[in-house]
Amino acid sequence: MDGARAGHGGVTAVVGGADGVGAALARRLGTVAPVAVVGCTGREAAVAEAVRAAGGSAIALTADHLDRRAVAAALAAAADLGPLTGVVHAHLDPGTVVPTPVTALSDEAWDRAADVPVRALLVTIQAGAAALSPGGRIVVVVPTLGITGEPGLVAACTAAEAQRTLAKSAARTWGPDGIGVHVVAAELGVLAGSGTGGGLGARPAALPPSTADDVVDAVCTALAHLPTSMTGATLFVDAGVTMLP
Amino acid sequence: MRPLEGQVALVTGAGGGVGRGLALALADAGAAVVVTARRVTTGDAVAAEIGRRGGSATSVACDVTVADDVEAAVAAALDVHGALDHVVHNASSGRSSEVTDLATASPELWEEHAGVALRGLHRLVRAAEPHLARRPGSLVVLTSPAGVEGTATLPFYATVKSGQRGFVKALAREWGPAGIRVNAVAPLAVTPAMANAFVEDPELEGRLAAITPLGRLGDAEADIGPPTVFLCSDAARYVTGQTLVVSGGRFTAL
Repeated sequence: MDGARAGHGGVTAVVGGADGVGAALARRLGTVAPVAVVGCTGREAAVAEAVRAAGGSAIALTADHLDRRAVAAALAAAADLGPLTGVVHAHLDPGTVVPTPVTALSDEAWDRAADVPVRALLVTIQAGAAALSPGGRIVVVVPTLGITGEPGLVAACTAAEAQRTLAKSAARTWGPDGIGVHVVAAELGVLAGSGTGGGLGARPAALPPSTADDVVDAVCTALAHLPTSMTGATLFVDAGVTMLP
Repeated sequence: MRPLEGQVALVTGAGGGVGRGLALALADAGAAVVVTARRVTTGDAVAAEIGRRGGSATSVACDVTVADDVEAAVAAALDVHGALDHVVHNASSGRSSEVTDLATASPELWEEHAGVALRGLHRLVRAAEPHLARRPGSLVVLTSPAGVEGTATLPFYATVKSGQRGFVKALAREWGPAGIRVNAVAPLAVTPAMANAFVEDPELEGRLAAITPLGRLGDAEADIGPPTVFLCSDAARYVTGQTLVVSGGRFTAL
């Protein structure tokens, strides 16, 4: 395995690491390698402190996820700790996944749910690609709901699928530079904070509902253990609901 | 009887290219067509062409990034033709074919793409839904194979086209109980931008045709129109939430 790969001595930055799955991921990564917890909710410092209390290495970096300069500065600061080998984007606004008929969405609600998540990912990808070391990985965590579509969540589904293809385009853009980009698609219940999959929009699963730990496992795999010839892949952590190729 | 006889279809971005071809095909299938375009002169020309063929069409100036324009276009369908059965969202940013480096692509360019392809789609749906629910009708969104595969040269175009697929799948499930069907068409067709590129690079068309199993690029009216008519028609009454790739076999990875 390439020593420069994420989780193998390099630094990983988790944008959205202050909350939810992002925080769980930061805590896990922090046990094996330095982690930069990037957030704008004020809880990033507590996550970094928890990592350090557990014997790991972490810094908290505050940056508005829509502020390109701020995120770029945060990732540059992360790279000061050592080679930046991984950038994870794990940000979901729980307020955007409250089921609402599409015709009842105001322009503002539409933008919050359908547009802001894509613009935030654009910021992370651009800043991440610029700051990553050769061989680095970007991993984007999205809800699975965009793949099958969910009634009442048209805007969130729009954003999720847009994010997935933005990641694919990024994989094609930076592949020649040795930077890989993957997507981890997780059940909404896990990402929105209920703790496990299933629930809203649940379909027949082959396995028990997934958990945040499952998502963290998948992200760590995408960061460090997939072949270098793989990029642009989506790993589904959905208890076997989707089973797409 | 033609498949869309007595029905009314509104097509966005219908002043040229694929949208024009769709408007002509829908009219040939019997629909009265509301031809919307940002530049009313282009829409007028397409509506006149439909009229010369014996069809019925109305031209309305409509920039889908302007909410009032969208509502006026829907109102025109009702005022002139008395109903609205199908909405075909084809409009895309005028910068859709602008080669873009993702590393430096600006939020302003993103807004140009998203404003037309996604926010415009939301506004269309919001304005049209009460009318589509009456008979009920359907929505067809013109997406792209790029929205499935991603692209290093047109990353924002691919992103909004993928977003549209998420929109279609979710709305198909949301509107299914009301009987309104929602589908997407992902075409490979000669567009005005592509025709311009062929002028710049005369061998480009041949190269693209060579990697297309059916050996040529699609024609908007003859090749993309009929599948779109099918999705609007009763023949597709049990089809919703789908993306129909119409690419001469060029894209097979869906």
